[in-house]
Amino acid sequence: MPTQALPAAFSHALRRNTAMLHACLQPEKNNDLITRPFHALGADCALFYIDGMASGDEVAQHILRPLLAADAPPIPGAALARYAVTRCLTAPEVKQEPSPEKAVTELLRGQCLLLLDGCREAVIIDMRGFVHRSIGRPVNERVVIGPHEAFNEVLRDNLTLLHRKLPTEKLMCRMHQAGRQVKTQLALCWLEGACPERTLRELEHRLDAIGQDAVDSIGVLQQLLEDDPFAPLPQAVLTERPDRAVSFLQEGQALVLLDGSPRALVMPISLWHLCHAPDDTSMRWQYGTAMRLLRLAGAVAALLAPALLVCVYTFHPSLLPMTLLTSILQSRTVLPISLYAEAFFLLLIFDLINEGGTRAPELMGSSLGLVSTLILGTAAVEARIVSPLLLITVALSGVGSFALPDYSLAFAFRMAQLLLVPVAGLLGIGGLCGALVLLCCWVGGMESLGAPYLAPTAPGRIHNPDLVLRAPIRRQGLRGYLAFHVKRDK
Amino acid sequence: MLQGLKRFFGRLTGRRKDRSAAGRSGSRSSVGGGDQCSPAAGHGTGLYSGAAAAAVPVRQNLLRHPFAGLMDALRRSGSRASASDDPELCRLISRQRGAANAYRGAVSLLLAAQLLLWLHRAAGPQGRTLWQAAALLWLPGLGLWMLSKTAWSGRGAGQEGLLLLPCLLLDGITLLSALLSLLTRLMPSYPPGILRVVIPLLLIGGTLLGRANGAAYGTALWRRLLVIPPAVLIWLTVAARGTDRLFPILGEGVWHTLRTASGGLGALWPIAALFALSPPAPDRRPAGLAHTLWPLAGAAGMGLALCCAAPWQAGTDAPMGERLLWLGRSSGSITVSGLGAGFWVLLLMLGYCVALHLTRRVLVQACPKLPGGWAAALAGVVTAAALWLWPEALPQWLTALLPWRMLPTLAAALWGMGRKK
Repeated sequence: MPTQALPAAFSHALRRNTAMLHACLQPEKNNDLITRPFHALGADCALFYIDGMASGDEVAQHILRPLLAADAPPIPGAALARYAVTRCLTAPEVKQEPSPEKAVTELLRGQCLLLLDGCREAVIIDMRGFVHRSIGRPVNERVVIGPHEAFNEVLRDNLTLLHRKLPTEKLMCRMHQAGRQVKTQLALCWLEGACPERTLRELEHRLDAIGQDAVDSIGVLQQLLEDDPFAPLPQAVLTERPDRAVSFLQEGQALVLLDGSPRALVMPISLWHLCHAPDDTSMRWQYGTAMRLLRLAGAVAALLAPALLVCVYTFHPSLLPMTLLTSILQSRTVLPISLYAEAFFLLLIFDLINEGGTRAPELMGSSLGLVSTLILGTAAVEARIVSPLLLITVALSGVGSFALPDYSLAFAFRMAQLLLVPVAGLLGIGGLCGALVLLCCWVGGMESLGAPYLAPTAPGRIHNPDLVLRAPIRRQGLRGYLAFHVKRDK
Repeated sequence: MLQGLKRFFGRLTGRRKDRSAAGRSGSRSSVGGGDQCSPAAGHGTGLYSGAAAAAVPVRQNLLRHPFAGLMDALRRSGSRASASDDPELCRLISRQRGAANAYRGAVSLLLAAQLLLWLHRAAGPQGRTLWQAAALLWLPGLGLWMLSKTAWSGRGAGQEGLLLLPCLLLDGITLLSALLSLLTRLMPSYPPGILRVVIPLLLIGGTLLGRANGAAYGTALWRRLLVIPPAVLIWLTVAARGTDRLFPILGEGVWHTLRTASGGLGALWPIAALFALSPPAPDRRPAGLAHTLWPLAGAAGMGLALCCAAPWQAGTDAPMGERLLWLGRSSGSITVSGLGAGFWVLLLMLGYCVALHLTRRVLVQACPKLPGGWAAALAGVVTAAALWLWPEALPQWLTALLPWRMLPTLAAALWGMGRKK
């Protein structure tokens, strides 16, 4: 981050420009800045780059060697930069920059900055060669059938993945910056002809309105872009899969890629986008439909199973079959705590194990599994602290939440469990149904970039037969409801 | 108002020519309809390229050719063509139509709840002849449909919507009263005072959190709720126990049946709300017919099951909560009984949310400066306060007041027709 305000333009004198850059970047404190003065093309030159961000070999091969070997041209100093760019430098990506502020920003992003005495423009050369993670497998969105590539932290690599998967001239990528002080680069991508202009305008307006000093991650960006920060569900999808990102682009949604984050942010979305997994489309329609129904059952179990058990047992035991009721009563006669408290306690323990498993070092992961299974599971039942039926119900609801493909949605369901159990335990069926209706109304009023969250179900919109039941691919001839209503190109 | 009456009867007799709506293209050949921007002269950008826009034929007079008119309405409800190539306009039309459909679905839930509550209220030892009265109600219902469509189709209610406010508040009070009565039956040892506070708070909170359209969209999700339980109940009750209770066909006499049916006239008023209080469809074509008919078909099925199978208690003094549990208990299955109770709790809550939301719409339309949240909260407080203040006397007052809901509805419809010039 530059510590001193920069002038609006470079000076003719190299000495003055160098002094300006040193005053801004303070190399006496910041030892990462490398300044390489040399004489080429009949003038004094200086090359600036951040140690580690640029590849030294590439700098020597494509910048220093050709410049030092070139003869001095019979042209005024002001045209030297143009001469160097067109006749000497062998780097593929070179441009001239008259603004010192923009030049420094590019320097801090890893580019090389070349100043020539007598020129009022800097030459920006892309020699980035910093170490970064290669393209790997997705961590959270695994599939059985389908590609196994994932985004990484480098914006250019992610854009390359998109271009490879969508080799069409209609794929547009416009660069923006996020953050007032630390300007993190981001790319807004869309498919021309599919993404409505209104979506792009709104998204760009929100990006320009970000007033944070720095946007560190895509999760922070999501929270800054979403319509309602107090809503119970996320209003954007974060995906680490390029194939999923491409399918969203084809559906008419816009994509934001942030440099330094291995996920793409997709807006606008609906609740159904959070419930669909990439595998659903890759498999045959029968299997995809079966998986979706299974996932739906898991979601319902995750949300309602513990609360329903507590509600029915506490307030409406007559609704249970006699044999089941007898079994439950027998198992509960020796337990010290009420069913409601026991359910709440078990849900908390389950979430604690989940969180511990996420944060624990890899070497300790197996120990955590042993602790949770043996001690908290078997021993707690044998010590008659918890009942087996409730333990099974809580485990079932937890597994059901893991069946949801989106991490944020699964988290939201687990939080809703913790709210529904006390409500059911205190108010019975009335409280449980009231809470469900409240959630339905709340989610019904949510919007994602202005699009209704429950669309295309409520309000009804024309859509592919691909919400709960997945129709055969040949019958899915429409683009998503968020796009223009044109037939998908075959 | 006189001009409105003239216009209404003029339409009935077919003296006014219907203006043709914009654009009908090959919707007959479409599978499941499509939101279609029919291209002008074959630019081929629409879903079904090459389909030419054609004028909608003059609407058939429903009285002269009822079957043809009904088929025409059903066919055109599936047609979604609009003569425009502008994609943004197509999206706007699609969104407006979706909103109209969602509101129709939500209001039809309210209508179904009111009709079923009337059935249960009117049921008693003479319940075996109740279905005839219910069947008679379809005639005034159809008349109100046509009147409301003439008055408000394509534009919604203006100031005359305020006349519907008492109906909405009465609906809210009825639904909340039935809900609390049911919950008291399901949890006999639970302090009723807590239920009277917490349950309305939850539902008012849902309406507030839903903001502009959330309550309508959230409740419209459940529109198929009224289809599955009746199908199960009919099979378990009517099919297992025979149809003896369907007879005699004329009930206990024509006048007795008419008198019973008159008590249910007030429950039909939400038909007017389908047109008055739903967002207008972007064009004049029927919107949300399927969304409306699903819950009503379910309600009809449940009503039939109720009339055929419910074991009526002697006398008519049983509270509403007890009456709502009769049908499930008559199945002889604990599970069905429980599911039936859960179904009723959900239906009453959804209907209450819809009533609150529509009250909010009416108040906001009449007083644009009034914040929507305040309007919904005001409606909720009024309905809940009625139950807090007069818990014992309220059911009797409701029995006397509810049939009169049709009067302000008719007045509002005629006012709307008079405004329409």
